[in-house]
Amino acid sequence: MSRLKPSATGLKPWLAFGLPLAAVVLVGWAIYWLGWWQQGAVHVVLWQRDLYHALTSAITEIDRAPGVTTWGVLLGVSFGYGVFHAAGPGHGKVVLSTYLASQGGAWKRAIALSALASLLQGVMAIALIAVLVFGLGWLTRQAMASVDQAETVSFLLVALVGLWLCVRSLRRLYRATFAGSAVASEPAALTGRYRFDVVAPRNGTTLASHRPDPFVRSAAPAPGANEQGANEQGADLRGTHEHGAHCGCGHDHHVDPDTASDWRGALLTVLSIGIRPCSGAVLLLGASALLGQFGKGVVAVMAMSLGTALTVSSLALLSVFARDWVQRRLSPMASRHPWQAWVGLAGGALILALGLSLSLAQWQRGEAPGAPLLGSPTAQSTEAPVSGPFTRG
Amino acid sequence: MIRSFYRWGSGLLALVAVGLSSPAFAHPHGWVDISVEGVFDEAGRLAALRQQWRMDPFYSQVVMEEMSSLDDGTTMPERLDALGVEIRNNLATQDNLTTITLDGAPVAQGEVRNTNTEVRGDRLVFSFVLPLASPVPMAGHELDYRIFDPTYYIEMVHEANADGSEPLPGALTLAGAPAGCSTHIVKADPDPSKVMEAAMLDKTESGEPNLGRFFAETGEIRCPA
Repeated sequence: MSRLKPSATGLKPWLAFGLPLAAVVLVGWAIYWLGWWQQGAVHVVLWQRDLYHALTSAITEIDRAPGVTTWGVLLGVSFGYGVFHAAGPGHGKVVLSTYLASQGGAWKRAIALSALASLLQGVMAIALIAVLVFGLGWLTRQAMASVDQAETVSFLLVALVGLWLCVRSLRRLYRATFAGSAVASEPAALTGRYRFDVVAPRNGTTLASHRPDPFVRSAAPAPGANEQGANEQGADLRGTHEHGAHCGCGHDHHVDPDTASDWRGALLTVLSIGIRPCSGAVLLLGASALLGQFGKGVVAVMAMSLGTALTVSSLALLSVFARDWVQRRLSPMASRHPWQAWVGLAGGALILALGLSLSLAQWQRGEAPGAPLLGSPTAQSTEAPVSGPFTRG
Repeated sequence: MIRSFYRWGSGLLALVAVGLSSPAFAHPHGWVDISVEGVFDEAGRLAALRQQWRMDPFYSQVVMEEMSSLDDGTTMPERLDALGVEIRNNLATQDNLTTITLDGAPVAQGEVRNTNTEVRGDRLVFSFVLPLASPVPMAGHELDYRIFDPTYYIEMVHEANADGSEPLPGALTLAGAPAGCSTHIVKADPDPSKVMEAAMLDKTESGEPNLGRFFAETGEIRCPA
């Protein structure tokens, strides 16, 4: 995959960029004008509704008649519920797309982060019921209300991710401005490494070898570079990149702190998204626990998470591809300039704004809003936060 | 380079803007199967809507867990009654999730009475009588009602057959109606562009998009002149 040549080498750059862009704009405009996207969105809601009904009956059915068929239905419906549940807009997807589009990251990374975030949401739901209901003896309704708290934590973490990305970008800009052109390329080098770290040649200190982007013609590595790159790929894939300064691999180690912080940022992003369990999953687990089917509920929630991962990673891939494509067409030499740090700053600022506005909205909303049916559980328990089972989550 | 930065950045902004502005569709996290009976008085006027709400199995489970966890020496029927009162009080603040119109004009509601809460099979069933503020003459008139959760967190649908395609005959009935009165349940047919419009508006103005109305069924009661 590494030695792909730009397919549009022979075309004039503006044509290579302009034609597909025009096509995309035209198609997008047509879809908008015909109202397809609106119909699509309404249909997603209707499918979500139908799948919820199906999920409820699937759990009940498997309780009555466990078998291959009922298991198949349960897993299929759970998976579908995950796919369509994630198809609606949510802050997690916005955060992840913005993060990937502005901070860089290979498609593998996009998939890994999406899958991790989705699975974490499922695991959180399972942990919530296991700890609160089984461990602490809370009522399912009270456990469901705690999703609200998890949501607040999630929003605050999102703001934290944004703030942290801003600070990092500002530091890079500062260094780029005051430390000369060699360091100015650092953000780009980082991005390039992550995108193609598997084949990244690392045997030089020149700009070209530090930005091993196969799509950039000037980045052709020296013969023999691949070997060294291959030797290192294991370390890089683990994201730890631990080798001593005298290992002879020949590249500057001043990048490493950023690499590590990049991974910390990625994991923090995953955490900020995944810490908020899906309230549908919590309800499913609670109800299945009450039916004495907790194990089956857990399996269903994991299938659900897989479905969610599918949708979220598709979206993440889309944003990565879009970013790479624009980057290739518009700015083959962009690596020499700190503009990527500016984009990183813009992305960080957007995530920060999103996190703050969501937290603020949560804070202004205060305690549980008027639940349609039940304001608060009639149970006299005071040890657990209480609010209606039908509060928004 | 500046140009490419602007374009790249604006593309990113556009992407995020789309993500943010797309309506936060609240899809249902539970549902209620409803059936309604139009109750007429001796003068042939519509006096009340008797409603029965069957909570979905999950929600019923969760509420039953709570009912049985109480340790205050009350009996189950007493607990269910208390629950019914609580639900009634909650609903009272929201017009009982019911809107009624006569020939298109809003009809005022009286106070809910005769609430009853019971467990039937794996479902919690809440029923009540919703009187109209004053009985309305029906001869030659068209009365429509809609029962929905504005936030669409709970979906409210008339009792229907297994695949939900057709409402059951018992979903909307009449008691004591003059001869010739008829009923019909109109399925929701959300207009996508209006749903979108509302989603965007509501989101910026009040925080929560109120989409329930677009997905609500309409019950129609018609009487000949």
